Parts: sequence; C-alpha cells; structure tokens
Amino acid sequence: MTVSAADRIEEQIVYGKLASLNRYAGERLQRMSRSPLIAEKRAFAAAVLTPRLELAHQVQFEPEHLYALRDSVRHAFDFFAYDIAEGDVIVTADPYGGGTKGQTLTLVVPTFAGGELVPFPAIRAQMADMGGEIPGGFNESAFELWQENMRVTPLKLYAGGKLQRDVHRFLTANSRTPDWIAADLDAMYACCLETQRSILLLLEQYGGETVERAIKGMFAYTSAEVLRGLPEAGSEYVGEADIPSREASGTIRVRARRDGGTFHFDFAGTSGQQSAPYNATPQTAKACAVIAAAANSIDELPINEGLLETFVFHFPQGCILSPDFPAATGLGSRLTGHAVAAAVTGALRTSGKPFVAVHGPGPWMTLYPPIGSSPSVVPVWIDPGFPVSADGWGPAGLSGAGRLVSAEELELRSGFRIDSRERETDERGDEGVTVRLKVLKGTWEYQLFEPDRGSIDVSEDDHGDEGASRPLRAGDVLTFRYADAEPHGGQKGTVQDGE
Amino acid sequence: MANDWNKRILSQVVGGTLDSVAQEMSAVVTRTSRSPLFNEAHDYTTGIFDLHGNKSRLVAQAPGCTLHLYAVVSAVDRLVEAFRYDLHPGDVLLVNDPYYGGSHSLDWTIVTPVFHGRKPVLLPAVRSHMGDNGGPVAGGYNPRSRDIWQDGLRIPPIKLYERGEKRRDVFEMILGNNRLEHWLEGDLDAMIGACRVAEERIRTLLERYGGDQVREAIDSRIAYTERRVREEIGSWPDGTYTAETFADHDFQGRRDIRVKATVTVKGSDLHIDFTGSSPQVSGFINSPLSNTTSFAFVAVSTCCDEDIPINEGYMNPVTVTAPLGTVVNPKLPAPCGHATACVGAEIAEAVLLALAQCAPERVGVNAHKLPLAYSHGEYEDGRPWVNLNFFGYTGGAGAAYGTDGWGLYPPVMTGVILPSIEMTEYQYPCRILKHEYREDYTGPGKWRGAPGLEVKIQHLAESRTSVMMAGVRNTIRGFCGGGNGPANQVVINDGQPGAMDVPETVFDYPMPPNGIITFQRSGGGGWGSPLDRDPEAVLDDVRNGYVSVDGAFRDYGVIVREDGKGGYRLDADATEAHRSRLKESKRK
Repeated sequence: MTVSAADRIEEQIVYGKLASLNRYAGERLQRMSRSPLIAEKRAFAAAVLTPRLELAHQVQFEPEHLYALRDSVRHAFDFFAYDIAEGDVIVTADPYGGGTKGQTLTLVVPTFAGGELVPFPAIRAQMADMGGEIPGGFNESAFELWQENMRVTPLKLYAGGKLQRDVHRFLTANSRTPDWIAADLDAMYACCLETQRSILLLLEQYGGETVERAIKGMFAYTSAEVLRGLPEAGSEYVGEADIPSREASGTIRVRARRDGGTFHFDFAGTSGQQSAPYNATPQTAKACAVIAAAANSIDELPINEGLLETFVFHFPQGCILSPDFPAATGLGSRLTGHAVAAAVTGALRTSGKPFVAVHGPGPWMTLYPPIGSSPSVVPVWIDPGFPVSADGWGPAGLSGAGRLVSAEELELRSGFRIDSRERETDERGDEGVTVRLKVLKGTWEYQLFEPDRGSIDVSEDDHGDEGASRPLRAGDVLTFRYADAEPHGGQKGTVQDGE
Repeated sequence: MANDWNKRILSQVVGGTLDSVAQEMSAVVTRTSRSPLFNEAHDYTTGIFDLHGNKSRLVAQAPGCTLHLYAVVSAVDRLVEAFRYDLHPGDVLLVNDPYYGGSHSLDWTIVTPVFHGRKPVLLPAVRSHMGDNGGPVAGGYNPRSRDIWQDGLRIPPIKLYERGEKRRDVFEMILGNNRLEHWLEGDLDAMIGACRVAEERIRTLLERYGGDQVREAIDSRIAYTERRVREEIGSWPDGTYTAETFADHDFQGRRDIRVKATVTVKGSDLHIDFTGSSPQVSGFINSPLSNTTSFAFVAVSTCCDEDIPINEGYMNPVTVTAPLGTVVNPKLPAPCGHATACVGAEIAEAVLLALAQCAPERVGVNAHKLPLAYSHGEYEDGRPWVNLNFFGYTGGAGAAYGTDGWGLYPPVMTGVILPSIEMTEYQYPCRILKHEYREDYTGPGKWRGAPGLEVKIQHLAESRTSVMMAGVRNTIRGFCGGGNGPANQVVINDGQPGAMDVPETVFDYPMPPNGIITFQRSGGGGWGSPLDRDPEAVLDDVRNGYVSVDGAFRDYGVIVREDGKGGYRLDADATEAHRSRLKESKRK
C-alpha cells in the first residue's frame, strides 16, 4: 500500500464521516420538526458547506434544493459580508436571493475555529405557512411574490449567539402557523448546532487540511463520474418541452453540449416570464436540468460541488426560467421544472445514450380551514399518490424522495380517509394510480393543481350537492387520478453536429 | 404665589417648545420624504410621548391626520412594552401591526427613545400611511381580504436601529416586502430623521431646564388639558345616551353592519361603550380597539374647544370599552385593512349622534364615509405606481352649530391636505379633469354640509382600479334635524364601453389608457332643520351654484326666482308662507 493510497482511504473515511454527520442532521430533523411537511413529507435538505461556500455534502429529499441551498447561503454571505461572527444564525427565504419559492427557508450557522470560517451546516426546509394570500403559499392566481408569501431577505435570527426576539416575533407573526414555524426553526437550529459540534470534532480529529483535501477529492470524483454518463463533445443536443399544465402555456427550449470538463445548457428561446406562478427561478431550473442529465447515476453519487460545478447554464433574463423581480414563482418546481427536465431528457436522448425520464408531475391539493376562521389556520398538503415514471416503476425522479402521506396520520390528524389507492385503467384506456379520499370532518377551502395529465375530481357529497363551488365538508369525496407518464415523456429532441 | 406663576410659565414654555418640536418634526417629514402621501397629502402625524410608570403618555402632537390620535398612543405603548428592558440610546423602533396597538397595517409608527440621566424619558414618534405594504394587493386595500395576512405584511414591534447602528438586514427585509421600495426607503429615513431632529431639540430642552422641571411642566400641561376637557364634559347633563349607525357592507356580502355607542356622562367623566355593535365580520372593515378608541376621541375632540392642547389630558376623562369579537374590537386574525375609513367613520358618527342628545350645540362636522378607489399600473420604465386618487375623496365635511360645513375634508382628516394637481400629474400618469362643487349634493340644514363634489380623474396609462364604496345605503348623517348627505357614486371607465357604475366593490378593474374615473362625492350632513335656514343664505347658495332653484324649494322651502337680469332674487313673502305651511304640516 502506497502513502497516496493510504491518503485516499483516509480521505474516503473523512468524507464518509462528513456525509454521515450531515445525513444524521437530516434524520434528526425529521424526528424533531413539528410540521408534517418536514417530519413526513421530508420537504427539506441538509448540507455542509466549505468556507469557500462550496457544497461539501448535501442530503435532500426534493430536487429543488440542489442548487438553491448553496445559492441561498451564498446570497446570505454576500449580504452580510464582513459582518458575520461566531454565534450568528442567518435565515433567508427569497426566490430572488438564491431560492425557489418563498415558503422554503434556509437556515445557516456559520462556524468558526481559531477565528477562521470552517465547514459549516445549513438546512433548507419548506415552512407550513409564511403569510401571503393563501395558507401554505401555493396561490394559483398569484403574479407577484408577495401574493405567495412574505419575502425573507437574509436576516440574523441569532446575532453573536443571542436570539433576536423581534426578528423571531416578526417571522412568527407573519405566519398562520406561528407555533409550527417557531418549532421548526428551533429544530433546524438544533440540528445545525449538533452538526456544527460534529464538524468541529472532525476538524479536531483530522485537521482542517485533511478535511479540505477529502472534500476536494470527492468533488473531483463526483464530477468525473457524472461526466462519464453524459454525451461526448462534438455535437449539440437540442430539446424542447411544453409546460405540463392546463392553465399555463409555454415552452422550454434547451441546447446542450459538452465542453471539456463541463457540460453546458443554454435555455435561449425559452418562453418569456408569465403573469402567473409558473415562473421558475434559475435555481429550480438548474436543479431539474441536472437531475434529468444525471438521472442514470445521481442516486449513486454524493451531492456536492463537483456535481454542481460540472454544469454551466445560460438563462435569458426575463424568460420563464429567470424571471424579473417580483414575478411569482410558487409553481416553478412542481410544474415548470418538469418541462425543464423533459426538454433536457429529450435533448440528451438524441445522443443515442439511454437517459431515464425523471419528469411527470401529478396533481395535488392544499386544503385549509376557512381563511380567517382561527388565528392558526393550518394548511394540509395532500398528494396521496404518484404518476408512475415513464420507465415503468416508482414515481418520477423529480418527485424526490418524499414519503407518501400516511393514511393513518391523514385520517387521525386532518380527518381525510383514504378509501382506496389502486392502479386502474381509466375510460381512455390510460393506466395510472387512482386515490379516493373522503372528508370525514371539518370545513375546508382549497386550491387544487392539475397538470396536463392527471386530475382531481371533487365529487358530490352524500347530500347530492356539487362540491366544486363551495368549501369541502364531511361526506365530500376527492378522487386523485395520476396518469402514468408518457413513454417518451412528451419531449422532443434533435441532434446537431458540431463543427 | 410667585413660585406657582413660575411653574405655570415654565409649563407654557416647555409645552410650547414640545409643540414646536412636534411641528418641526412634521416639517422635516414633509420636506425630506419621497412619497406624495407624505410630502403632498401629509397623511401622517408627529408627536412626543413620555413614560409614566408602565405607560406612555402623549405630551405634544402636531396637527396631522387626526384619526391617528389614539392609535399612535397605543402603538407607542406596545413598542415600549415589547422593548421595556431592552431600550438603548440610538434605538429606532417600528410597528404597524393592528394587533399590536395599530389601526390598519398601512399605518406605520416609528419611535425613538430619548435618554436623560440613563433613563428613557421622552419618545418622539411619527405615524404615517405608507403607499404599499406588500401582501396580495398593491396599495394595501384588499376588499377580498379575509385575514390579517391578506391585508399585508404584519410588522410587530421591531428595531430598525440598535444603539445607533442600522440593522441593515431588518431594513432590507422591510424594503423587500414593499412594491414601492424606492419611496419607502426615503420615507422611513424621513420619519427617522424627524425623530432625530426631535431628539436634538429635546436634549437641549432637558439640558436647559433639567429632567425634573420638564416633567413637572409636562404634568402641569396635561393637567391643564384634562381640566379643560373635564369642564366641557361637566357642562353636559349627566345621563346615558345611545345611538347607532350602520356601515353599508363588509365588501364580502354582509350588509348594514351596526355600530352602537352608549355614552355615559357622569360629572366630568365620559364613558363610551360599544356593546351592541355587530360581531366581527369577514371583510376588512374590522376596527382594532386602538382604532375604535382613536375615532371615539376624534368625535369627543370635535366637541371641545380647539385651543385645548392635544395631549394625554384629553384622554384621561374618557374611557372606551368594546366587547372582544365585535366589529369594533375584533379578534386575531380578522382583517382590518379598511378600518381607518370604514367602520372608523361610523364609530365617530355613532358617538356624535349619542352626544347630540346631551350636547347638541357641540356636535357636528363628522367623519366622512369615503368611497375609496385606488389605481395601480407601471411607469414606462416598469416601476410600479399606486395612486390613491386623493381628489376623489374630498367632501363629506358636515355642518356644526353656527356654521355650514367648510373645506374639503372633515376633521378626521385635519392636517391631511389635498395634493397639488400639478405634482399629482407629474408623479403619476394621470390628469385631474374636474374637481368641482356639485349642486344639491350635500345634507341640508339650518347649517348645511359642505357641498359635494364631482371629480374626474383620467389615467393616461393602462391601469387597474379597485373601488370600495361607502356611504351609499347608509349615507352620512345630519344632526339635530339636519338632513343626511346624499349617496356617493363612482363610475370607472366613465363614458366608454365597459363603464362600471360600482355598486359596492370592484377589484382590479382594468382601464385602457385615458380611462376616466368619475366620483360623485357626497357633501356632509346638515345641522338643524333646513326650514330654519336663513333664506338669504339659501339665496347665496343658489347664486354660488351649491343649491338649485328647485333644491331651494324642495329642501329648504325657500322660493328663489330669476331676477330678469341673469341673476336670482328671494321671494320672501312666498317663502315665509310656504315655510309656514311646511312647518305646520310637519307639526301635524
């Protein structure tokens, strides 16, 4: 065994430890948080970043965090440049500051050793409610971000270790679920503190240089591995796909090419931004493009800077993937992002290599007690099934690794009984998952979101009333229909030979 | 005796100084702010508070938007409460939350504590109506709002500066949640600047006279105001007087919302109880207790002599109660976005109608029921604009004993001035085509309300307008036999296909470039029977175009004839005979 081989083994051990302590943060967050969005649906990501603000390791259960966590942290650091000290805790939830949608908040705990910034933890998670017009933040009629949520530009929640009570009060006062927000912020902070403690132990055990070398080594490995699965240089691959929604029209166009050690996506020609919530931030678009491009290998690879920096993007300002402030972006991840992935898959498939389709959105609903009925109106997110992916098993990759809602929890907590969840063939002969729920109690207002394939029917209740024109009540039945993704995913692609 | 005189003189000097400081603050805001709401419309109030035990006291206030009168007191209290053990020289505090002592979330209060002898002693404050407050709707008036978050951003007590250092993150976040960031930054700086100027003046005052003497002088001045107000209340007969009035609707389908005031006069104490008012409503007209109290004080203050200094002494003889969960004291999270107009107007009206039973010669003028219409669009460079169409709101000033209604705004808007037409047209893509008194469009009376107006505002660029009507089903009331005002009317896109005569409310109604909004704005209520009005005054009104010849006959029983020279003359004999018949028939 040579010295360099031993070093490589040590680097693997160190990086493995770093990854483990980060995964542990993610596990702990699920157990400590109060909102089912985090505890059950796992709508979050946990990460460790380097002092250069590179992504050392990330564990995520939704694709949208891929770039957004790092970019939100970078935005926060840029904002507080020369004003970050030990004990500071920064929060931000800003689609125009590295984020994706307003209700997903990033909490970062800068960490210092010997007066120098060292690897530090951050968590990005979807909050139950952050004000705005509709509980939960998904607002089908929004055209500005303030109609979706309040905008949390970088804020110090703790300064020098001291809780900024007025900032905390501000955040909770602007939520219809103040107790949940407070509890989830506490959980995120506690998990980051534990990760911080573990990082400092790791640094103490192995030294900063070794840890840095281990991280860098894994960046190089990840980049090489992801490149291995991508088409070679010499051609340009062109793809396009329409936004998979009945309400929105727009086309994502992409030109992809390899250039040495990087892979480029140019979204010139993509439709302009919309006066509707279908705009996606560049962070959303980048995440969906990379998940599609790396679909064959991403489950085997660590998520780190090596993966992120392998890809280079160009978005024309003002297009639906890089809208001008203050355009609404709430449905960017759930709908427009799927078109990004479809366009990328379509383009890359023209290379002759097999690329697994990761797109295929399903319908979902947010339901809430009548607005104004209580100081705490808790929205319920219902997404009880999934469209089977184009390649035939499980949900599409962009659905992430969130869990299906537990039937027992849903019935116990909110009073919705899942009567059936079956694969069925509909009247058109399309196969897919059908889920039927019955409302057992309460009065519920709702927003429903239907992609072009898949639907939600709000059917007559036991009394024969039409359900669609009034709030839901006991006896109403909701039928979610998840159509299997099209075999070819609805995308188009062509290949153009390079010079 | 000499010592007593010295104290009185010192009290005058200190009180006068603090009044001057409050007025200087006001001037600073006007001259340094960016928003036309500040520098043109003066929709703000400046004041100075002291700390008395656990409560702040209003010490001096400059003439401003009177409806802020008590809401600013309550907001300062909540700020002091939130930072009681965490106040430092250089701190700048901000609050807008209706559930932290506010009125509606568009009104923001800035306070800076001034320290003397290591203690916070005086607190200059500015309360202003901001052009936007984030949330679902540009301009902050959301008739579809069903909870406080649909009104806009909630700002509970927060520090903008800590020990003199700007909290850049908090500042940026406040700006980041506003569509008019380019105005807001300057306006916040103007409000803070005004407080800083006051801080300097107050330091000079404290250094010159010392803390104890200043406090004594303030106490003496508050006691003077209290004595004057108590003298006024004491002149009214003891008893309990009840009145009620109604808001037209809550913009979400509920109509005729009751505001009931029971006023009890006992010696020099006045208690106002709003028990019997409607339960809180879904729409955004719920009035937080501080706003309710503010409008009640506005009503009481119009019954007192105008030379009484405005300070805590005004409030000491008066107590206000309102059951929790009603439209005049809602529970979180009821929306409150429109509370400063509706049901604020009804609160003042109900109190005045009750007081009319014990102090008829002191009531009148009233708060106006204004049809709110705000428009928004984009400048050519893409920046947003929000135009509150101020010219459409003028009117509504009622009569009082001994005088016709006067001016364009009733007392509730004292200090708010009409923006200049030139600046309005410069700042927004609009033209004010018409702003004129309208014939026969006010409450008749022995003394009549100020005439109503017809206003036409043309928006040159594509725009969207939301209208919230008031004073249509339940028009502004007259007093002591005076007639009520007529109904307000607003037409959007007037004269064009797609014109909309707004019945109750319309949201974000699109208008093409050059679309016109027409307001028929009611005048105020009258005082006393129109049949007792001096016929010569009616003739004057006919000559001035305020009353038509038919109106003079119909409303006042006065017969005016053409004089054959292009003018009018009074037919005194016919008038006397006609009025006698009318009075006789009324008596029967």
